Amino acid sequence: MSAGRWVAGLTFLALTGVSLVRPGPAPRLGPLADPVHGIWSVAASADPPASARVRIPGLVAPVQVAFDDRAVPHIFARNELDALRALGYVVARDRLFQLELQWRAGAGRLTELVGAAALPVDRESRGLGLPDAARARYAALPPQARDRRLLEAFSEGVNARITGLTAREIPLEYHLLDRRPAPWEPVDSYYLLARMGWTLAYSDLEDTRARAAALVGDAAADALYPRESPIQEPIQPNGAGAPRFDLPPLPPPGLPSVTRAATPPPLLAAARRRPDGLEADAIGSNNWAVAPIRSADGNALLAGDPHLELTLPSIWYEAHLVVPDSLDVYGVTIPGATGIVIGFTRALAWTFTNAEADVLDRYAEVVDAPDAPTRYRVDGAWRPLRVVTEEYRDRRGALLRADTLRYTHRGPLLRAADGWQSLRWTVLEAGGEQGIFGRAARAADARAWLDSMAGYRAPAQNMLVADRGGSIAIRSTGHFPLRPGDRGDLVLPGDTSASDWTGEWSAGEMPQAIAPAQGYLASANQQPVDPRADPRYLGANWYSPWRALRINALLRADSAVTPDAMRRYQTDPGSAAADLFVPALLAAAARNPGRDSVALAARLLEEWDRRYTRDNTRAILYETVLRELGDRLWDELEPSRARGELPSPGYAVVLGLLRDSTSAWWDDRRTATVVEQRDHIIADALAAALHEVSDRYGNPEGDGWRWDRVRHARINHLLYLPALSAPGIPVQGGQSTLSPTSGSGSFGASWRMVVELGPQVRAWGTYPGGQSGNPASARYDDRIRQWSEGQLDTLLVPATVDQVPGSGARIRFDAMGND
Amino acid sequence: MARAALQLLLLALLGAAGTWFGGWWALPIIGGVYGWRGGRPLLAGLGAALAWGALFLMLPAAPVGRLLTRLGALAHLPGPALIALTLLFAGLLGWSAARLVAPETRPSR
Repeated sequence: MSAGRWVAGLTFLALTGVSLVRPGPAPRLGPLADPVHGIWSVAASADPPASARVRIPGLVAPVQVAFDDRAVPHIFARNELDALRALGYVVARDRLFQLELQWRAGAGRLTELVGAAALPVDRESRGLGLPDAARARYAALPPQARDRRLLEAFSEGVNARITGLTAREIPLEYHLLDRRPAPWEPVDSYYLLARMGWTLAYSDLEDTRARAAALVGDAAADALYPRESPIQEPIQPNGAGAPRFDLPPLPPPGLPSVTRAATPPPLLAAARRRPDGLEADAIGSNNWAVAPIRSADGNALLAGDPHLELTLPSIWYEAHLVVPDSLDVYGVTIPGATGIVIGFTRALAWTFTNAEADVLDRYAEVVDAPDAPTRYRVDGAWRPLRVVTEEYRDRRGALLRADTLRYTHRGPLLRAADGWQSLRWTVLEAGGEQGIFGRAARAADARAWLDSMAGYRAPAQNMLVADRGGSIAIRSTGHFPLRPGDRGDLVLPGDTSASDWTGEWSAGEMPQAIAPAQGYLASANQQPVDPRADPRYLGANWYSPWRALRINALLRADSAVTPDAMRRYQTDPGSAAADLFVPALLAAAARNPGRDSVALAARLLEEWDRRYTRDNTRAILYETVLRELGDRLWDELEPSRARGELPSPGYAVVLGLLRDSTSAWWDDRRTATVVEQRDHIIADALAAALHEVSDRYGNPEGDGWRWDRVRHARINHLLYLPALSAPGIPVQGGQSTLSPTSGSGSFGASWRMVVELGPQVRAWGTYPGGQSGNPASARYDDRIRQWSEGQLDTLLVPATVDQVPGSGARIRFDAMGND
Repeated sequence: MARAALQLLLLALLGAAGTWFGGWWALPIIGGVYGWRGGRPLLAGLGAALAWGALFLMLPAAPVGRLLTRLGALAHLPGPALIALTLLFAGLLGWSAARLVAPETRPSR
């Protein structure tokens, strides 16, 4: 055989080999490179055909869908189920991979799609009981239940898309993973909801409190992580007309408290850590509404910007659903949810922020065997554990791992270093959320809308609504447990039923305000109700109040609010925290004369207008000073704090400490021969920050310190592929502003919306991303620039399909068998 | 020369149709059959590359441009290099299949 034939043979074998068999994690080369069926073919589906006819099983009547110039589908159906079938189809058309990734994340079955690398995420989901709860909730739906029919209708739409897929319509990610889309099951929507519950309502206060007490004692732990917000500007107006500063002296660090179950189960310890070292005030959602008496045109106004992890494609998908005489709702849905989650109708508008309530408790259980328990003891009697074996499989179906999960009547039982703990969590018990949005969208006014949402359970939300009649209202809505005793941030004994929840707050008891005299309402994840007005325990993990302070100040100062002002407030660069801290830092520097670096840092800080504009060159120094201050101040909490096991106490606590120059907390115990006081520590923090920022970004007078050079938003692709992500996006805003950004910048305003409820409802909105999940589409990331600049698009709400403007695609859906 | 050009065109057409209706595996099959019947392996390779090149031209330009940018970044290569590599892959598939089964001594033409 000639050398040429040998070369050809080897080449042939190599090329066909890597085309027929997957070379490790990489996809097969032949199918990938094929310009008709492979990765290149996604270019052919980047711009969907101008018109199409699609048949969906189960469809009762034809549905027409017209896409406007922003690629938003306007769905015109004759009944709600058909509208959901069409919604399922168009969501799958634009976001099919996202749909599958999200349900798999909630179901703990990512490994079957992306391989063993996802095993920790899957074990977390299943270990927390998310898929178990989702399946139970779906199974509990009676066959004719409305929620079940909604889920099935949506599922029929998604599957109509999947079964009709041509090779060119398979999303790019499937080519990279060498997989094909899995069919959609109705229960998948519950998996999605369960994962959202984890994102929004997983807050393990027991861990924080126990770890702090183990270092500095019970009294100090309670003061460092106070149950009540030290600065009161509650969601439910308290009539004060101004924030109230409740800053009690901080007790000195005490002797460590030996607290039972100080160490959480490893699974929970991992779950509570944020992925990118986010600072405490770096994330958070906002919403506010203005009554006609304080708006320029005499119409109620509403604004909302839920902050979540930013991804490409976005977590949100914009859509308009119209069913004559029944439903006419515009807004954003989460791919996989059966309706519009945040949006507006021709009568009202609504939006949410996370309530941050304590909806999770841990119980130290007594079990019959330390390694493989089968029973647990309650009130002196043994009860059987429900034992489930969870198997994790790879993409070929091979077993990767099997876990034995156990459940008490409270929830999943997890192993901790010092025993077994069970978890009770409202997310695992929620129900009814799938259909509730559709029902609420039929409400005629704000009060009726709140009544419709009364059955909403989890994740608990601050639900803000405004209507065309001029009413504005807000209610912190969800399943808020009634506990024995007064607090939910302690691990409770599991061997007595006296520890169990005794009920839940009724809708009437939930923090709420309807048509307040002040003429506006605002929430920013702060404590919902002033404890002086209602001292009952709702939670203890309130976000720092800076955003609440800022938006309330803006709204108080403006008695003629316009929709454009609402838009500007969403990216307002002002910082209530900086307004309080900078003067204190400067005063401390003035009391420390003689240190050039301290004086220079103070002079540079003094130049700052305390606004996080893109071109400001001083915010980076301020943020570094605060970080340095925290590092020096909280040495008593090390090493737990440095390891990310214990969050830093909030800056509101620091604000209280600033009033006490000789508090023991100012002493840095690492300097054994010196007892530091407030001004010494602040001066050191100023000098260190100046040194660090100068080293990193150069001359203070240069452009290196510009905010848009040092802090960016980063929108990661769902698979964290850098090439499909959008890094380095300049933004206005920083830690504790209304549009906060910190850490890697991967959290931020996921949807911004402003609605004016006049005779004709007008609305504006955008999100960082685009409607299409196809990276070859111009609609993949076309809104990012606008979002980055704080601009909004006008949202179009045509009454008929013929009124849909633009030359976007049109789809007519027909029932099977109809022509 | 004209005969070779005609054969090249035919190979390209067959390769494009085979890929369109079948898949990537059409290229080695067409190349193999062509080589077995005494065709020149080089022409088989060129025909395969031409076939995929033509299929590329049928894709919409703007989305392909965006895809090139993103996939190029993913592979740490300039975008156009990815297309060149894809065409090289097609050409090598066609050539290697034809050369592997070609008679050891080609009849003179």
